[in-house]
Amino acid sequence: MDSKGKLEAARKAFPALFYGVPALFVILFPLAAGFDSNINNIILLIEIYMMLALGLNVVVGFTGLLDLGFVTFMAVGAVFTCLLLVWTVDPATGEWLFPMRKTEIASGRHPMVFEFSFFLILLLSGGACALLGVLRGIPTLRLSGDYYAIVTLGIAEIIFLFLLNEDWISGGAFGVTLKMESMPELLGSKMYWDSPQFYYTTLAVLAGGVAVMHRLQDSRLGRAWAAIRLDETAARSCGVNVSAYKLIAFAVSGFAGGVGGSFYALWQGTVAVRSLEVWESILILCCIVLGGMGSIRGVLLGTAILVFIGEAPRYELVGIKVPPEARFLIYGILIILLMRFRPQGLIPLKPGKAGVGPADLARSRSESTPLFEIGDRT
Amino acid sequence: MAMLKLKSVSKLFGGIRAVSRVDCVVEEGRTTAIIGPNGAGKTTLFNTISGIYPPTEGSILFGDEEIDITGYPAHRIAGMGISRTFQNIRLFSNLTVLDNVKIGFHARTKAGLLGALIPFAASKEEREISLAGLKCLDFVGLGEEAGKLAGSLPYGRQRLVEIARALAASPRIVLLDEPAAGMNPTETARLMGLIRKISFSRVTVLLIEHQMQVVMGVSDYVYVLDHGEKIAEGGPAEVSRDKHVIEAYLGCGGA
Amino acid sequence: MDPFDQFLGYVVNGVTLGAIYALIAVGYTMVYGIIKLINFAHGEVFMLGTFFGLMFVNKLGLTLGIALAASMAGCLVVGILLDWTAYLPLRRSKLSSDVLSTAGIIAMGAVTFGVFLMRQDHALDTGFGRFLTALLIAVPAMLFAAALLETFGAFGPPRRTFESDRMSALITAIGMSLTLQTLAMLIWTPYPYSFSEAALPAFMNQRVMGLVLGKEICVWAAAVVLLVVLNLMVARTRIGKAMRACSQDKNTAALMGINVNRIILLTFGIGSAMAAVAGILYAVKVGGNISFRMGYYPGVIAFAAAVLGGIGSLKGAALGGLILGLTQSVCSGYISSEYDFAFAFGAVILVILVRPWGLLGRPGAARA
Repeated sequence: MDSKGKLEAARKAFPALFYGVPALFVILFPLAAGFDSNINNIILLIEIYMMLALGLNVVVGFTGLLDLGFVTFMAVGAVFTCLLLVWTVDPATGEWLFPMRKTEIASGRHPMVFEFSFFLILLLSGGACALLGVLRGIPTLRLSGDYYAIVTLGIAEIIFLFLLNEDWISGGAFGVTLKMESMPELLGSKMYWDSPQFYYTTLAVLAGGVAVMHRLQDSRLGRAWAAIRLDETAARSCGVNVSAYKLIAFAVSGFAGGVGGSFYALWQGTVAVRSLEVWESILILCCIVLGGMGSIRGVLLGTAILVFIGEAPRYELVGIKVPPEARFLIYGILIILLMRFRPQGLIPLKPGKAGVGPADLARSRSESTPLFEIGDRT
Repeated sequence: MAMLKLKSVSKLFGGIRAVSRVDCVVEEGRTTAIIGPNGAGKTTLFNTISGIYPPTEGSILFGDEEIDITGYPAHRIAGMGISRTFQNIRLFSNLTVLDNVKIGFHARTKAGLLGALIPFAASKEEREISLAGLKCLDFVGLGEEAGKLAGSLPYGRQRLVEIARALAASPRIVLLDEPAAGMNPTETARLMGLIRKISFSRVTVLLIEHQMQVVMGVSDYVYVLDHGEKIAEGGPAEVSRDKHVIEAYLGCGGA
Repeated sequence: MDPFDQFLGYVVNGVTLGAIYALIAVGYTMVYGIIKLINFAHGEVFMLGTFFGLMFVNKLGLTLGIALAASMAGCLVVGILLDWTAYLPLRRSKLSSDVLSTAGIIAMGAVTFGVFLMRQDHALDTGFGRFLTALLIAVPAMLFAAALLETFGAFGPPRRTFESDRMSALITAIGMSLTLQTLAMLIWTPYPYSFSEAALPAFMNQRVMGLVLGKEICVWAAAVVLLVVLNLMVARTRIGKAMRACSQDKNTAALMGINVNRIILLTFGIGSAMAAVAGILYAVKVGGNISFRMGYYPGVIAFAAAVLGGIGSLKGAALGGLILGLTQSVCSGYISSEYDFAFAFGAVILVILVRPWGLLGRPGAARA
């Protein structure tokens, strides 16, 4: 038969293979190698960054606004998670205490007041960041392009300085360390990075996130975002309330960032705001740019590649001690070359679902729908 | 019955009066054309009607109920049943033709964040949108092109896609901004047929046009603008004999 | 200290900072005026300029004045290379220059990495190490030179286009900023440096009228002289006229016989030379703290200064720099010194939201 048919078959099988093969590997790998291997650790970090990148992609890829301050959500999500986990009440006085001030409480002699379930923490941290996203978004609604980028960068810097300097919230320069006893529990085990519970929960949440993103992109909401990205004026005159839909995008993006931040906090076990400075946003942006802005599969692929490049040298792969920041050299050169030779990314965004054939047309002629009566009036 | 009433509408940019105290009534079902030389303020008038920017003075009333839509945001005006096309085509050129039209249904559908999150919540609506989108394209004669990239179509067809997108909102009145610009004679003839068909489907048409044969062929009533002011109105034949109009078009020669 | 003196101290400090910001902002505003690009890497040019000065003073033992001039020349070249490697290929696609500059970028990374590796085992001091270093530097230098010749039309007429996708250009600028920062870190280690005390002329640390330090007066004088010269250049000379024409309409300018890409290259060069001066003055004023991250905050704030004054306007950049320097100094003095940059960022956001066209600009002239 024709090669065209084969090509078509390959194209149809692509999504299943794209998700199926890595998913199978990720599910099975730790069963063979154990949950505390280095590779396991890298897989977790890649998954966490995938959540973050998917979140940023909503604003940058779907809605077309260059957000340079996304790390804010990651930092706030992580810090907020820590707060929920380690905030306690002094049993004698009933006073709220934060363990950074009272070391004897941090040692775990007092009972935790918040026995939050893990998923509630995710929801709360995501919700807080969604709110933050909306609040941050309201003043920037009129802006686009460079000015939007600069304002998001500025807001991120201000929030970063705030978190860094207010050590009653964030533990200051040294950050907050999550002790084993303050970790949330799931199915009888603490959610430490090397527990199966944490590993598979991360995977499941990511899988859910990917599914939601695909649905969002193909929905009325996703079309409205695409319209805003491509031509705001035309979107308006198609009836799209641009401000409202931008705010929804900010909220969704913030939610994903907060959830990613929560996972990051648990994965790291320590949240030091200093390590979440604004350059981290640029790293997440690089993932999106590499994969293809707006393309979900592209974003996932780009994140996997970049995080792997960044993490691999930390372990003893090469004999020389390279400072971990040296990965930024690779990122930088990669972005420059990418913008020159393949600005649409590794897996570019498809212009829409193909496959509208004569059969669909014939069917549309025979059926009627209340959405379009104009044609029936003639 | 009036579909649209402009009462002494003016639009100033800085000190320049782009539109100056224009009164105009678009009767329901009566295809109305606005003509005038370049820079007469026609597109500015369309922009004030469709809410791209508010008029500086005057008011715009919509429908029999005479709802005062002056200064409403554009998306709200579109939602009320006033759709438009653009002189410099503003399609979402990186999307398919069908997706372009689907966006046109935005105001008439509801699915929001929850619809996207909950499986099957909005699938019926999605199916309806696809179906109606195809019907809509079929209506303008582009049913075969639904899967193509909007930006890849020739100029004349892009104009048709824009019209289809405007019709997707099931408007009560549609504003066409120079729909025949860049079309060859065959396409123009087909466009005239389409405009009559739209009008026949009980959608009022208000159009800006430069090609006189289109204006003469489809419109029932004509307004003539020059330097932002209305200089004449009436039936097409009557207007084409008006000496102010001839003067405006040919320069100072007339009188 | 009595409150008035204290206030005066903050103002003096603010004006000095402002003068430095103004010098950086000039580069942003000129580039943005012509190609509508926030050149994120400009902050890194500022940083490189400081390092050049440091090398000239500490390693070669030049006096500060000569080091300043040499550093300006160095940054002029860096600025031109920056446009040529990163932005020009986006504006004007040509296979040979693409290949050459790509090889140049990769080689540049390889050189730095090689230098870094060899420093790790002190291999630089051996004869082979020196040969390798020379080779590693020579190869990209030749590639750069070849492509520079190409830019100026030595290998045949280029296809003339001047526009690039703005999002691509902005992301490229971010990538360039990342690259230059990491290069500097690999070459000069992450630890901060400062000028040796001996290099600073004695009058710099003397107080004038009990209040102003000699070095602050130097900063003011340098900033005023350079800004006035630059202003005259843009207003009076042929090149300045060509620049203004390009910022209005590049295609028309090209039809009038202006080599637009060369003007853009020159703009990058001049802006970068100004940044070099700013970098050295900043290090002198702050008293060292020269590290690979030093360019980021002053860079972003200087961009903000350019927006504040009205992007595209040289006088606006000077005014904006002054205002932001004063804001930062006075607010951090009276409210909280930990938030010094936050006040400047706050001012920026406020300006963009309320008056995006800037203090000296006109509405609608430069909306992003």
